[in-house]
Order: sequence, then C-alpha cells, then structure tokens
Amino acid sequence: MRRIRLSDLWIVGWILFQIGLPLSWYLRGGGADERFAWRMFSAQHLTRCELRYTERAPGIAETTEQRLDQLVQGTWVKAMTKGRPAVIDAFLSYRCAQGASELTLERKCGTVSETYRQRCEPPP
Amino acid sequence: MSRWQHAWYSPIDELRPRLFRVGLLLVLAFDCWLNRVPRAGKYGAGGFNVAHFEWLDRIQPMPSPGLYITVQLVTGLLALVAALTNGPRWMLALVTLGWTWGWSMSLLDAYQHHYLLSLLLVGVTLSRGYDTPCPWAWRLTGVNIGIVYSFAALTKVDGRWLSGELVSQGLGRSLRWVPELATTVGLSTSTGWLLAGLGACLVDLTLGLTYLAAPWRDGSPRRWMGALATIGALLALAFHLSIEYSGFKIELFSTYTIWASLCWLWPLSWLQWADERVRRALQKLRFPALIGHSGYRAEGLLGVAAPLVGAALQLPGAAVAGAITSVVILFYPKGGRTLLFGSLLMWAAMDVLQTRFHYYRFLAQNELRLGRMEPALEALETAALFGELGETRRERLEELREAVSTGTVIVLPESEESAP
Repeated sequence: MRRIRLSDLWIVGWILFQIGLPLSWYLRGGGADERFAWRMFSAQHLTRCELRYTERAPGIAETTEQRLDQLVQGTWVKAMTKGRPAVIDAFLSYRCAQGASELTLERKCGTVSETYRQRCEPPP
Repeated sequence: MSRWQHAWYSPIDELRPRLFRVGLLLVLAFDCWLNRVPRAGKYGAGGFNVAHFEWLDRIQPMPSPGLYITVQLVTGLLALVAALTNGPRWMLALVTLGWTWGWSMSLLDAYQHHYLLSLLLVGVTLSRGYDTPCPWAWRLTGVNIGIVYSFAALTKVDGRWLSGELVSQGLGRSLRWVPELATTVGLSTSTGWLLAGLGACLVDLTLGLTYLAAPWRDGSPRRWMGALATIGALLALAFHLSIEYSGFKIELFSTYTIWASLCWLWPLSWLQWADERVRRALQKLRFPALIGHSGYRAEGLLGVAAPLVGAALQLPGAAVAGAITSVVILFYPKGGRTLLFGSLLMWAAMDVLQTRFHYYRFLAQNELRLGRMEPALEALETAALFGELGETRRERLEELREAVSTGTVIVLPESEESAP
C-alpha cells in the first residue's frame, strides 16, 4: 500500500478549508460579516442602511450628533453602514481613546434598527 | 496507480499552468501599480485601522500610505519579473505574501476578489514545479475556483434574488440594459428582472460545476467534459463581459476571471495555436533578448536602478520599494535586466495613467474631509505637479490656501465626493 504523501494531506485539507470557511457563515446563521463566504451581491450587501452617531464629552451633560466622515476616513463609515462588527467595535474604542465619554451609534436599515452604546473608561 | 493517484498526480500539459501564471502575474503587476496605489492615502488616516485578522493588528505596524505603496510596488515588480523570467517558486511565494498582506492589512480593502487572487497565487506558487508543472496543485486550483462559483450561486438561492426583486432594487442602476432588452424581445420588465436573477444564479452554478470538472478534461475519453468546458468558457466570457458592460466598480475582477476561463476551459489545441503565434510575434520584436539573461551574475546589479526609478516617482515608499526589489534580485541575477525593464515600465504606466495625480488628489480629499487643511493643501499642490487640476479643483486649491492662511476649516457637505 502506498504511503500517504504530504501533498495528499494538503489536497484534502485545502478542499475542506475552502468549503468549511464559507460554510461557517451559514452555520453561524449569517451575519453582517460576509467576508470569505463568496456572498457577492448578497441581500445583505444590497440592503441600504443609515447611521447616526452621537457622543458626549467628559464633564458635559448633553450629547452632540457628530458627522462620522469627519472623524474617520469615508470607507470606514461605509463599513460601519454595512454593519461590520469589527469596525464598529474598533471605532467606538477609538473614540473613547480620543477623549469621548459616552457614545451611541444607531444603524437603521429600513424598519430595522440597532443601537451600539459605549461608556468609556476614564483615563487613569 | 490508484484512482486517487491518477486523479491528482497524472501528468498535465505545461501550457495551461504557464499561460495562467504569466497572465495572472502580468495583470497583477499593473493592478498593484495602477489600481492600488491611488488608494494609499486612506491608510492609517487619523491613526485608525482594523486589519482583516485580529492577530495581524497585533503584529503589524499602523498602516500608512508609505507602507501600503511599498508593499504594492514591491509585489507588482516581483510579479512582473516572475512572469517574464519564469521566476522561481520562492519569488512567487513572495508575490503571494505581498499581495495577501496588501489587502489583509486593513478592512479598507474589502474586495472579495482580492482574497480570491491570494488563493489563485497560492495555486500558482505550488503549481510551479522545477521542470514540469505540479499536476495536483494545478488541479486543486481549478477545484478551488469551482468551489468559489458554487458558493456564489448559493448566495443567490434566495427568494428575493431569484424573483428579480433584489437585482432590480440593488443593481438596477447598473443593469439598466436588462429591462430595455426585455422590452425589446417582448417581455415585461418584471420578467426581465426575474430572468436576470435566475440567470445569474444558473450561470454561477454551471461555472462552478465546469471548473470542478475542468482539471480532468484534457486527455479524458469522456466527450461531455470537453463540451461542458467549452460551454462554460462561452458562459464565463458572456457573464463577465456583461458585468463589465454594466459598469460595476470591481476593478480588474472580470479580467482575472476571463483569463482564468481561457486558461482552464478553452480547448488545449486553441491555446497551443495562440501561444505559438504570440511567441513568434515576440521573437520578431526581439522581446526575449530585451529582457533575457546574458548569463553574467553581475546582471543582478542592474536592479540597482529600481530605487532610482522609485525615487523619481515622488511617492512615499516608492524608493524603499525599489531598494527592496533590488536586494531581492541579488538572489536572482537572472531577473536583473527584467527588473530594470519592469521599473521603467512601471514608471511609464503610472505617468501615462496619472497614478500619482490620482493618489495625491484622493489624499487631499481625505485630509480635507478630516479637517486637516495644511496636509490637504500640500497634497493638492503636489497633485497639480502630475496632472491638470481643472476648474473645480483650482477653486478648491485657492480656498485651501485661504483657509490655511487664515486658520479656518473648510467643511464639506456630507455627500460631496467630486473635488479635490
């Protein structure tokens, strides 16, 4: 009987990886992060959403609405509009690091809306 | 020989892998130089970045325009050298690494086909044998493309997509020709959208099956495999040309997919015929002599011209890119003359297509939007060195000069994208 070669393992492993990675998106029940799932022109991708962002500076009572495109490069705003969780989390942490004390990001897609709130830890 | 062994390890003709490798690397080189570089201004703006992988954020430096341009120019130059000199496997691995880091360093680049190209480059690297192509790696790459098309079809197995609703709502502006064509042939507009949705799904599915079978078509006694491949080749051509015609902003995706379909799906005899003619034409033009290797190891030193060309480009990171490639080429002297040729070609292409102008005007736009007036002014003034600003941008330049001198900030309306 022939010995199993490294290339045999690579072939099997690569095919399993290439099927498993996109399949994992479906097994997770979908979600905004469609990378590596080959979901070109998906319903998610084609859904139009809007963002509203407010933040409160330390020691100030009222919150003010901020334009996201003046805070980060426009492509990040598009990524957040698409609901990319990693970008939204990173953005909220970024704003905290910039000195904000309380942040609210609302994402509205048609009749469905979701809100991300973050209270920033005061700097040590 | 077992069935497994025969399926993956039986020899293949060298032509398909060679054509695919050369074409892919050539297009990739120009893609890096002309499509990626103008977008470099976005990288690291305001000190904010999210990489595609969390671990990458932990080990890489904060991306910057200079870093991004360095990676793209090095990748492009090595891809060109590898394409024209039948570069070794380690060089292909460097191209794969460079390209993959290029897109994965930031979620600013979310094109799915950039990830697909990384997979194809892995296939190309592994397929590059010493004397003959590696059959299992070539076949595995074909299977990989088949899996990608199959999942693209699965995405469209959605009631809203198949009914044409999503196609008309989400892509209607680009696919204006669909209702027009439907009306011309006497169908209702809604039937046109339905057929477009259903058709795209069926095409993806057919291409998926075609690619899954294609790696075993040459020399197969099963005639249906050849027929399926030829149908797939025509479908791929029509499908990707229609995508291109519709004006979707997907850069060179169609070029890559059409090239893949030619190399995998067209009959071998047709490719042999075309290859023969192209080779003869290149011989007549003395192209191999121009970029070839004389046999002297000292030719590797010709690569020293790369950092000079890089410096002449006046882009951040370009001279470093030239220096890196010239060091790499010391380990591959055969590529010295080609690197010199590639560097000049890169400079000429970027000059003719005004890549530097676009880089600096995008940079100015980013800086302006983020309220950074001085860097915006500097970028727009540099853009003016490489291209005609036009009336709107000249007015913006004056506004910027005034804003900088008075210490005020220009606030752009949210929708404004046009200038600078």
